[in-house]
Amino acid sequence: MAENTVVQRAAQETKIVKIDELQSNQYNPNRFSGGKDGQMMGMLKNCILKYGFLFPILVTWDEKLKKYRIIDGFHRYEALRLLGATEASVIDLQIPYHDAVQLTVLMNRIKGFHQVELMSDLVLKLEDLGLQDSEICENLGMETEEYLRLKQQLGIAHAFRNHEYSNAWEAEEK
Amino acid sequence: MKKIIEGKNVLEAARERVSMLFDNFKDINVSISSGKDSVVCYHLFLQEAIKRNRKIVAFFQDQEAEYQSSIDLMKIMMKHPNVIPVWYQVPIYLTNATSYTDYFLYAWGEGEKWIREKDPQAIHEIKEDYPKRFYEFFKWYEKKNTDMAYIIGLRAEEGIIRYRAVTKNPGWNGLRWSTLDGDVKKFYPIYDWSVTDVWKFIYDYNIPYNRVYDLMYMDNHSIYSSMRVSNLIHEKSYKCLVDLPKYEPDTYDKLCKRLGGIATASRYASEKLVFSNKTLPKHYKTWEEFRDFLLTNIPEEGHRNKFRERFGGQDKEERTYQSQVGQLLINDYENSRSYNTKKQEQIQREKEKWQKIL
Repeated sequence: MAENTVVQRAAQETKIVKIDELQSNQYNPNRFSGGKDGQMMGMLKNCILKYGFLFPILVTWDEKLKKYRIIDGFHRYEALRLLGATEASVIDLQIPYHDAVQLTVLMNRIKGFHQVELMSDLVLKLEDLGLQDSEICENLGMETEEYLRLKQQLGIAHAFRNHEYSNAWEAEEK
Repeated sequence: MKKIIEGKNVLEAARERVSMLFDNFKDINVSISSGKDSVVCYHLFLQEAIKRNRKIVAFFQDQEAEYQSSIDLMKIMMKHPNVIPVWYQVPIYLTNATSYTDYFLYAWGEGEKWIREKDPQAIHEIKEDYPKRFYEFFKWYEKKNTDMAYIIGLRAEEGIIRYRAVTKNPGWNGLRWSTLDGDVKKFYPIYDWSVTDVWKFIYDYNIPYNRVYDLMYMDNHSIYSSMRVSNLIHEKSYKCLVDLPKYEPDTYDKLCKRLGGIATASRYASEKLVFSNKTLPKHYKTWEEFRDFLLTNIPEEGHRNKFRERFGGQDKEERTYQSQVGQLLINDYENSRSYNTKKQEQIQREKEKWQKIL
């Protein structure tokens, strides 16, 4: 069973440091998905402004650099800088380099995925709750195409109901 | 050369073809994979069968590693009173493109833990000797009844190889949308349909289709290039493993338990490295070097020699080495993604020629 010290770590150890004391790591293979960096960063900034900075950045103190090396939360750190923040909340894990590298990967990998069908239901639910199409798109970072496809639950065949059959053709000698 | 038939659309033309086949053949076999094209073929023939109070054979070789949605659809299609179901759930070896250790899935193998139960409508056992590989099994099945018309839902639009297959050589009775394979007569009655025709027909007749298409559509797949439903693990289809957890998480979990390599493929199959030979990994200077590395590291000797032998007779040049790497990365044991430079260039030329005509 998880001890209280384990469960309460974030609550007990989060502290505020100067943002200039943070340093990115050079090894993280994670990045925001293809070509959408700008959009994702925008969503992240909006999210921080609306709900606050909810998850402390995981760091470990690097004696050589004299800085906190980021383990997880590089994009959140970037967002804070772009928002002009001078401080950040962090947890200093004080773990060796090889553990830090592995924890970075774990934080990237341990996450779920959205089942398409349920995502579609969720979009309809938001609409029932009275949100406008454009709001939902903007809030969830969806382009119109994605939103429409999720929203239409009549299936792919329905999308072709107005199509007219093509002309038949036959192959013949050249 | 493609000649438009004025005043006749693809549906009208297909109905004439179907009717002609019913006039000329007592036994009609429609191969159904649960993919959209075979579903269209099935219903074109079923509608005619009902009209004539006849039956059609529906043939499906179940490879165990299939979408659950495919099986759900199959149950419905096999149950129709005008259909004689030939749904094989018998032991067969499938190439597993995803793993260096589990080369094959022994689908429906005796004593193995299958990902789902066998269906009561299906054939569970064959009492005679039969080939336990996919294509050979097909041929074996077809040879059993050469009076039959074998219907296949290939469409020319899907690519140059299929275009050639369905139009090149005249088959039965000189028909260009038929091919003869010895005594076996094959027909492609929807060869001239486009993908939009397929969906229009499915919509018009309110035909039940594979649920996976809806999920792919919602998930922003292009209707032209990437909506393909087939078995989940072979060398031409394993990329679907990237999306499988989003579409059918239960099927994905079961497949992971059944077979090695699934989770890795799910994570990396759409990348330019790992399973793909698009980019040479930076630690290698040439494709030849990378190929040799992969070849020496195939754990099983018989398997290694099989590839060695195949590559021995091929051109000694980087492009060939690159394609050999492609085969090694996806364990293309059956040489189905073979690459012969000269042949490839010829296909490319033909393709360009057809693109001008089409």
